[in-house]
Amino acid sequence: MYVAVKGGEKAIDEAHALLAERRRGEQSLAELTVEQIEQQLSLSVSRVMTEGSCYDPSLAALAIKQAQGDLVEAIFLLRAYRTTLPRLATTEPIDTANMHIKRRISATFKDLPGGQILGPTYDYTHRLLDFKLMVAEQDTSDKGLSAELEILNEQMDSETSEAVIPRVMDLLNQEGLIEKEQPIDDIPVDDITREAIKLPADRDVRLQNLARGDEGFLLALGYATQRGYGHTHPFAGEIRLGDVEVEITPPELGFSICIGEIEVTECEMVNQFKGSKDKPPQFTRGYGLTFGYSERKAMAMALVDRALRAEELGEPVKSAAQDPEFVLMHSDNVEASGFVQHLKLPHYVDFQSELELIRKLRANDSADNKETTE
Amino acid sequence: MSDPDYNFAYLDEQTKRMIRRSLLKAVAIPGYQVPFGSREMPMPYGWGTGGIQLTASLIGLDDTLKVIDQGSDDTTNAVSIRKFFRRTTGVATTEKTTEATLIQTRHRIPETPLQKGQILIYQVPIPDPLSFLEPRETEARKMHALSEYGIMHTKLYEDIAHYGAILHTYDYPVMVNDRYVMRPSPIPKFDNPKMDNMHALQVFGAGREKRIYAVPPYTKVKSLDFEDHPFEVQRWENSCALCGADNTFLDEIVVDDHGERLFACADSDYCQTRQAEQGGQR
Amino acid sequence: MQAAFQDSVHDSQQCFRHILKAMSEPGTKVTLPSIDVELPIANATLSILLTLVDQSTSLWLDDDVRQRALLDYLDFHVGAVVTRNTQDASFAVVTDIGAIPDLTLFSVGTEEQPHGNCTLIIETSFQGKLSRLTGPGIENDVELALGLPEPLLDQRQALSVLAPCGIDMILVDGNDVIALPRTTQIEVY
Repeated sequence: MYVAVKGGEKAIDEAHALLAERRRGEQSLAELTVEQIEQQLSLSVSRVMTEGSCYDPSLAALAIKQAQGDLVEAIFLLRAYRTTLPRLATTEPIDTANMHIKRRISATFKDLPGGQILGPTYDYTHRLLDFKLMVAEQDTSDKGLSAELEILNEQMDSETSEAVIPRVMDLLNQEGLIEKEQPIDDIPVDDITREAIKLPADRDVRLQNLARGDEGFLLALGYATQRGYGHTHPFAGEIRLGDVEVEITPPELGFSICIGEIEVTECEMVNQFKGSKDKPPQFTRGYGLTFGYSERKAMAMALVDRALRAEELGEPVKSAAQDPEFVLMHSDNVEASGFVQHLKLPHYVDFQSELELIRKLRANDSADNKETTE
Repeated sequence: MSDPDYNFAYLDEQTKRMIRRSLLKAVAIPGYQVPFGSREMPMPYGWGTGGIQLTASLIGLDDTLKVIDQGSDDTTNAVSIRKFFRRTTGVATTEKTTEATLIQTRHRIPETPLQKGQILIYQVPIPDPLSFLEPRETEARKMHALSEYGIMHTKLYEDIAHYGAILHTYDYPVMVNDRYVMRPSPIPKFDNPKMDNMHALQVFGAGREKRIYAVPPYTKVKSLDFEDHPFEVQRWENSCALCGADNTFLDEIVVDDHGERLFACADSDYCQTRQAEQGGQR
Repeated sequence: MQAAFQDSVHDSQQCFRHILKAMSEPGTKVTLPSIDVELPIANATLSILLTLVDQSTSLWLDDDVRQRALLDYLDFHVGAVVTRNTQDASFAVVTDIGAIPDLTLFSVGTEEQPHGNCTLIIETSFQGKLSRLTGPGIENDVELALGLPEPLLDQRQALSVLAPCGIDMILVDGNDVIALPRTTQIEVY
């Protein structure tokens, strides 16, 4: 007699054991430490913190280890942890003009106050596999930084930590060529981690959503705008990477205190705008901000942010990147990954119903055909 | 000497042949975008992979290569590309426009007029001038086939009607040999007149979009305009603060926090040559 | 098997630059470096094939030269796909100009893909009546003898209504080469 499949619990336990084994890999090799991931896979850590909406490099590293390097899975793990944390305070807005700069470039001016600071970038590397990295360095303990690099680091520290490097946008602002962005203190900022997104969404909600949004999704949309599907005539006004202070104002004190520093990447796009009935021709802005060093994401975010302002600026809305509902509802990779992959779950009850229906329709169909041929 | 681990100029010979065949077609059909089997290069798309593939297919031991970005030899990407070709070919490089046989450029045409026999290689991000009006390539290709450029003229005329001027300041569309509307790549429209009847061969490579196009020497290149709104180039009130030139494209450089500006030639070789000449006269 | 280029990388690069110069400056005569082989085609024809043709192109040869020795040589050094159908050919070699097939038998490309045409390599001698060439690549005009029979020139002229479709020609005389892309206008005196 046929016996239906049972024993799901045991199967799941076995699957988890296999997963743990696969995660560990070859036993004779040393196990990866969370510290190694945090230090040596720092760009992965940045992405997981950004899309996981939680600034904690070691937890992000742990998530990456646990997810076998699957970053979307790691983001999910960090989000699931984050949601359990109590909210103790709300920080003041971070001031990126006072950033301790590690990298700062502008594509719109050849030179400008504070200079172009290339920093640690892949931009001008030639993408040739470096086979020297196949072999671990023998002894790194006494080698340390090269003398040259140390001098460079010291110079950077002394130059940039003291001097405030003005933002390109502020320079353009002096001439009134770029739209002003006024802080709106009296309108509370929505929090999409606490409440569902309400449409139409204002820019605060859109930016929060984009900051958490999937890098690949935003990259593709931003790319599409460049190819004509919602073009925004972008220039990378400024990209900066560095540490900013995070401050809170405890009510009992009445003034703000610094509670630590975080590393962020900021991108401000400058976009052509021809003017409309209500607004003079001027440059407009698209904005991107991420935790850690996530330049690609910050740039894509800024492109999509600007494209989503099409309606506000009176531009025709024709493409996906300009449609807030389309973008906001599909940008989150935890939501998207869950729903796409849920198709693996059993659906046989529904499928059974569909089977019935199709059989019935086919039966009717062939009956009809017989009648007409007769 | 070139790097022995890679073929001369990085690309394999079969790829070079494919690009060379495409380039000959491009020359034979001025302004027409020839599709080609663009390869992955060791630089990202957008960094000039189209231009780099063209240069790699053209360059030989007798060549002298100049690479500019924004008109300047010392911009980071120009430095990087020059270094790549030095490493993979060992060929001589120069900053002098007059000494170069091949000039790879991003966003500018040198101020010094080019000569017969020189080849100017443009890096192209988006090759099709119609793509902002009709992003679907299948549709745009039909319009090119029929020389049906109505939507382009309509768009430009709408600009004039609404704003009193055509709003393209760079990548300003041109008509080549009275047949194809072509994107000149994002050069400022200031440079457009230099393309017309140029003595040098102009070739354009779009790596990501997989297109090659060309303008032979002594070929008519006309910036699109209207009788009542003729094409005009940018003019500056300032002259170059370094060499005094009053007929070049100027970079605006912010010199302090108060927004003080300085203007200098974007073309670094042209500017330095003029400064050297003036120094010699004094 | 007889040898081909001594240094395939640099010799083909040099040849290509000469061919490119000829194609972008129609009427300009360029001279290709000679190769020391005994084959029934001109030196420059061989250099052009070695430079531009490979497994991914189809090649048509006229009856005069479609012989075992040449076919074996091309198979070994070029890997060309030799076709007997003119319409399929991306390159065609004509050594007997008196017996050249009607130009309309070769592919001229399509309106949407005008680059799908055949490039004809035609052996001739640059003698006889002077022609005046104008068009892209030519400063004002240039006068020279092409050695092309008038019926062929008439056929070529007839194709001009199909622009931007058409036939590109590379004329060969020994080591010398003159190119006539479809855009070149020819007037014979």
